[in-house]
Amino acid sequence: MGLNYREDKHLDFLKDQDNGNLDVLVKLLMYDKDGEKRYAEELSGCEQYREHKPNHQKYWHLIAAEYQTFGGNSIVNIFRSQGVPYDEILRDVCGEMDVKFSENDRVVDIELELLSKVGAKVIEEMSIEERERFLKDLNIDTTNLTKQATLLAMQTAIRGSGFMAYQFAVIIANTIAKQLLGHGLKLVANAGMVRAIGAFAGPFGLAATGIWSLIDLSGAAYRVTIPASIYIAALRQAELNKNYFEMKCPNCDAIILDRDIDTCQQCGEEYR
Amino acid sequence: MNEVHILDFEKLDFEILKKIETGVYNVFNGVVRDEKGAIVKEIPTKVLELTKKELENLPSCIAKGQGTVIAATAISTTIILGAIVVATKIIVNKLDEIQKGINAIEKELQDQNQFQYFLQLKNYVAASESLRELLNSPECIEENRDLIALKLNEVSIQRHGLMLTFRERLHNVEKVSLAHKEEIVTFLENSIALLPKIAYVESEGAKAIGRYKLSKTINEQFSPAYRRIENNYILFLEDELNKSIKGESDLSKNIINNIKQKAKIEFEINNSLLYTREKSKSLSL
Repeated sequence: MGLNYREDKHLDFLKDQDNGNLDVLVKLLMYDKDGEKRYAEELSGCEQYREHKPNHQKYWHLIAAEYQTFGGNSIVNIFRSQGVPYDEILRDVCGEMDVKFSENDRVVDIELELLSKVGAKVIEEMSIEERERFLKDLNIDTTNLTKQATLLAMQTAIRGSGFMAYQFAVIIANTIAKQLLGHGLKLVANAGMVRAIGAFAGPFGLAATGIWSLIDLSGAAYRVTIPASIYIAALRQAELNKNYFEMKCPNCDAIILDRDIDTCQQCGEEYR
Repeated sequence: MNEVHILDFEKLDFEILKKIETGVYNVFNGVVRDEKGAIVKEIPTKVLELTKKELENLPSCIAKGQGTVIAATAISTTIILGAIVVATKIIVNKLDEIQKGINAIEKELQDQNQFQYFLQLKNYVAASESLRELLNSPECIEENRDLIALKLNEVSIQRHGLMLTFRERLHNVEKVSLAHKEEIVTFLENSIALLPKIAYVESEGAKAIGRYKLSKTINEQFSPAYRRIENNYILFLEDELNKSIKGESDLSKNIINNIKQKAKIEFEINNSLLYTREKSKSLSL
């Protein structure tokens, strides 16, 4: 049938991803958990892929099309000649994973719910000591170390701060990349952001290493779309919260890292 | 009641008609205008007597695009026609015409906005170029110290004006139409690119006539003020980029790509020109 990208404003951001980030998505789409090529994958048969791989940026639309195609029912696709929009796949995946969202929610909000669900599963695996350290890393002073309290603290942190959401998304995307590629991603926007991994790097990051075993991928139809959707959601969150341009304090010239705060972290002067 | 005035294209020269047909000239408000909006010719009008038969044939006339004036008048005569279908067709056609009118007005307003922004930038650049001309050679500086001082004052006023407009436009950018927003983005982009370069010329100009204190003041006051507006601009740009990542941007892809490619380079160049504490320390050594 051949891959045919369906214009999708929610997948357009993939064209700006570097080859490293796209490589993870390609591997998720092309290979199963045992490293065997998927029977249904079509990407490797495409001329552009054969000609330019591993320069995935050259055919990012085919990668997106492959995802859209996996997202739909194969038989339906024959008639549609195109896959399913991201919005639809995401909602389908969230339904399968019991992620709560309402019909009118924006894609970006549903994605955050999906990632929170993954985070909840990671927290489930953490010991009480790990939860205590994790909450301390989040600067939350509490004696309530239950899983629910930890989950609530995590959700509050990532919803309340773009900087935290970035850290969280980077850990999720990085963990997926490490499992597939054996190394992490280059998601940092500038030198100052290297310290961004902060709160989610410790016990949370360690517990997240077994990410796939925490998620039920038993349904054949979701073996591709669940991990790929989680990865795309994490990539978008990381992209949304990274700093594109370097911003300096008018008073002390320090680089402004956290845009959630109105004052310079170095001298306390308002930088806007 | 049934007498209406319509545009009489037959009285126009063949050459003008040909250019209207090919899209070189536009007709707006009863006037033929060229590509730049300049008036070429006012179109004469003629009186049209509407017979009952013509009124009955109105829908087909409208469908063939035969004059909005007829349609407008006919709305008041629909009672005579007594047919709902005719009224509906008239309204549909009228709505199209109104939309066309709105588009035309919007276009004119955009042009006005563009003109205003362009004018402010032009005045600033012109004043700075005039200053630069005077700084051309040591002899020229020596001869025109008084003029340079005057020019410095003029450039400074223009700079402050531009920075105020910048802040005001950035503050209100979400309250305007999409087309206007794109104009503002272009204006902001141009301003952010020009300001540090011209402020640098200003500061050098002050030095050239021995006004070192003024030169230092320009540097010390401009740099943090510029940083603040640059930071606000960066926050705005990143917000727009984030909207595009979310699939929610209303700006065109061209503008978004432009932001990504050009802004970064521009900020780097500006950084090298701005007066920072580190530079200030090294200069005083």
